[in-house]
Amino acid sequence: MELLANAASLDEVERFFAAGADAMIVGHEHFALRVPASLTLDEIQEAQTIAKRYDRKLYVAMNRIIHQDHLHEVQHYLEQLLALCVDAIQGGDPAIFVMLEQLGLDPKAMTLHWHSETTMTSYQTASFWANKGAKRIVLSGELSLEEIRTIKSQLNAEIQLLIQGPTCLFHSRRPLVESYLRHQSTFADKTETSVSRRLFVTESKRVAQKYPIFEDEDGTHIMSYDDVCMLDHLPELLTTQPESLFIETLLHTTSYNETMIRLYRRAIDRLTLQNTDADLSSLREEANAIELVDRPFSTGFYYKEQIY
Amino acid sequence: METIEKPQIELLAPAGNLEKLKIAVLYGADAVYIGGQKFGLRSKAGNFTMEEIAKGVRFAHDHGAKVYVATNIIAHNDDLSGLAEYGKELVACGVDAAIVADPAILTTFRQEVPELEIHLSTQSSTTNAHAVTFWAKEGVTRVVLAREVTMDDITAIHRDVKVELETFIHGAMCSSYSGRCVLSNHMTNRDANRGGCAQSCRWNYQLYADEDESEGLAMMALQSGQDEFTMGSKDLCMIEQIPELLQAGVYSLKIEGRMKTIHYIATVVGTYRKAIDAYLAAPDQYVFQPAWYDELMKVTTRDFSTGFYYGNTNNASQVYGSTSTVSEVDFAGVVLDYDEQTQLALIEQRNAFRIGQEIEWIGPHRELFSQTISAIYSEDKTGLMQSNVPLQKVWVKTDAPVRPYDLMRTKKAAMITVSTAI
Repeated sequence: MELLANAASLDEVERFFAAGADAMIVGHEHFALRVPASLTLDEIQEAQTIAKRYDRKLYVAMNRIIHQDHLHEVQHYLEQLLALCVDAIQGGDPAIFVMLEQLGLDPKAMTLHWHSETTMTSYQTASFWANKGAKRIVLSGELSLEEIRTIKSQLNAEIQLLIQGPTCLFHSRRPLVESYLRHQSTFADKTETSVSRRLFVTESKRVAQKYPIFEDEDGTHIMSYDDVCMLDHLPELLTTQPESLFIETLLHTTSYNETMIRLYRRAIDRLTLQNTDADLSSLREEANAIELVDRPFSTGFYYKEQIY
Repeated sequence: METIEKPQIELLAPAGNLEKLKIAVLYGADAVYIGGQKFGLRSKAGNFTMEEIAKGVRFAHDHGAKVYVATNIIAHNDDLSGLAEYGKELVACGVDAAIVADPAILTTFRQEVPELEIHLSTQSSTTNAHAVTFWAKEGVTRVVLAREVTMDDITAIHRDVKVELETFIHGAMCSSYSGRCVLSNHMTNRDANRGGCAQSCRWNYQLYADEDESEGLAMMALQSGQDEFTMGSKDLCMIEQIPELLQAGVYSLKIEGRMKTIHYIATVVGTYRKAIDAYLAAPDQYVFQPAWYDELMKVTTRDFSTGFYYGNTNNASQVYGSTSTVSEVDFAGVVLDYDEQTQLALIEQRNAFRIGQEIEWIGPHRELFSQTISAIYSEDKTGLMQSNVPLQKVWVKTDAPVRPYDLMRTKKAAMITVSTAI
C-alpha cells in the first residue's frame, strides 16, 4: 500500500519523499487540474531523478477537461511525457485514449491512472475505465466506506482514496471571482484571484465555514472548508483494501504537509508492520496540534449518507 | 414500429409531464425529452410513469415527433439494479433514445438493450472531437456537447466526427462544468449528480480576502450596499444565432426546462420553430425578427446571455443582486374548445383575469393576436366580471378564431391598472 502526495516544487518532492511518501504526483496547470504549482518538463525529469534516488514513484497528472482548441497541445505534451517514462500518467478526459490509439499505443501496456473527479461513484463505472486500460481508479470523494468496499471487491484495478486534506466542491470554466470583482469595479489583475491570495467565500446560513475559492487558467475552483483527516480511522479504512492513500497538499504549507506525511507514514508502518489494531490516538493528537482553526478536520463522506 | 421522417435539423424541447409534452409537440418541437421515474436527474420535474411514457410516445409519434428519456444520473453501486429491465420497457414503449451520462448505464444498455439508441448527456462535459469519437465507438449516436464549447469548437468537432451533435440553445445553465459540482452534496447532503441538486450556486455568498486584509472584499462591498457574491448564470438565449448554430454543425437544438410551465414551453418552442422554419425556407433571405426576442423576454425570469458560444463568460454573463427581469405577461388559461357561431372560447383558467384586461392569444404555427376582454361567461353561460378560481372553466369572447391548446395570457401592466382601480 502506497502513501501518495502531490508536490508544488522539487524541494517539496525531496522533502515529502524524505518524510515518508511512497509516491508523488506533479503536473502543470496547463494540463492538470488544481496542481499546487506547475512543474516544467525539465523539472518533472529532475523530480523523477529524485524519486529514483529514493526508490519511490513519480506520477504526472494531466487530468484537465480538454477543450477542442487545446487538443493538439495536449497530444504533444502526452508524447513528451511518454518519452520521460514516468511511473504513471493520470488522465481524466476520454480524449487521452484516442490520442494513445493514434500513437499506436495500447493503454493496457502502460500505467494509466484515471481521475474523473466527482463522477467515479460505482464499481460498474470504475470497471468501465479499468477495461479501457486504467490500472488505477481515483474514487470520488463523495462515497461512503461501505460503497468503497463494494467497489473494491468488484473491481479489477487499484483504487486511490483521499485520506488527508481538502476536496474540490465546484469547478467552473467561468472566471467567477474576476467577474464579480469587475461587477464591483474593483478588479485589477489576475493575481487578485489566484490561489496565493487565499480568498474564501462564506454562505449566509453557514458563516463559520470558510470555503477557499481561486481561479487558474482552468476557471474557478471552490474547495471544502474542512480537511479530511482519516489518521485515526486508518484501521477501518484499510479494510476496504485500497492500494493508494492520497494526501492533498493544496492550500497547506510545506512544513504542515511534511508533518502530515510523517504522521501517516508512522501510522501505516504501525498498522502494516506491527499489527492492525495499533492505537493511533497519539498520532491523531499530534495531527490535532497542527489542525488549523479555519480548516477543521472531518471524515468527509466516509461515514455519511446522502439523499437525492 | 412507425418510422418518423428525419427533420433537416431538430428542435428538442423539455416536457415535465404529458400535458407539457403535447404542448411542446403541437407548438413545433421535432423531439421532446422527458424523465421517467428511475435513473434520471431532476427528481422534482414531475416524472413520467411507464404508462405515461407510452402515452407520450404515442402522441409524439402520431405528430411526427420523437421522445428521448433522460437516464442521466451518475450512479452509485446500488442505483443500477433494474436498469436493463427499465431499458427494455423503454424500448417496448417505443422511446426513440435514452440520454445517458454514466458509462455504467451506457454499457448496460448497449449490452442488454442494443436496440435502444443512446445519446450522451451534457453531464459528461464532452468538449473535444477525440472525446466524441471515444463515445461514438462505445455506441452513442449523438453527443450533447458541454455548455462550455464555443461556436468555433463546434465547427471543428463537427468536421472530425460522424455522430450527431446537440447543444443547448435556451434556458438555465449550471455555472460549473456539468457533473463537476458537489456543493449541494457537501452543504446539504443532497447528491447533485443523482437529482438532489439544492442549487447552491444560486445562493448568496460573501467573498473575503484572508488574514491581514481582514476588512475583506465582501465587507467593503456590503458596507457600500453592493451586491453579494453569487455564481448563478444568466439564462442562455440563442434566438439571434440560429444560422450560425446550423452552419457550425449542430443537428439538435435543445431547450432547457423540464420544470417550466406549458406557457413557457409553448412560447419558447413556438418562437424557435418560427425562426428555424424561416431560415430553412430561404437561408439566403433570412432576416432575424426582433419580435422573436421580445416574445422570449415575456416568459423569462432571468436576463439572457450567449453562454460560452463566443468565448469565455464575463461579468455580463452572471446574475448579481436581485434580478431586474420580470416577465411582462401572466399565463391566464388554456383553450379547451371554441364555438365559431358565438366566437366564444372555453378556457381552463390558470391565473385570474377580468373584463377590460389586455390579453394575447398564442397558438401553434401562427402569429399571436391581442385584444381586450369584452365578455366572460361561466360554463353554463352566466355573465361574469372575472375569473379568479384556478382551473375554473369559463367562456371568453374572442376577436378572432382560436383552437384547443391555444393559450391566453394577460399583460401585466394592465393587471396593475385594474387592481389599483379596485
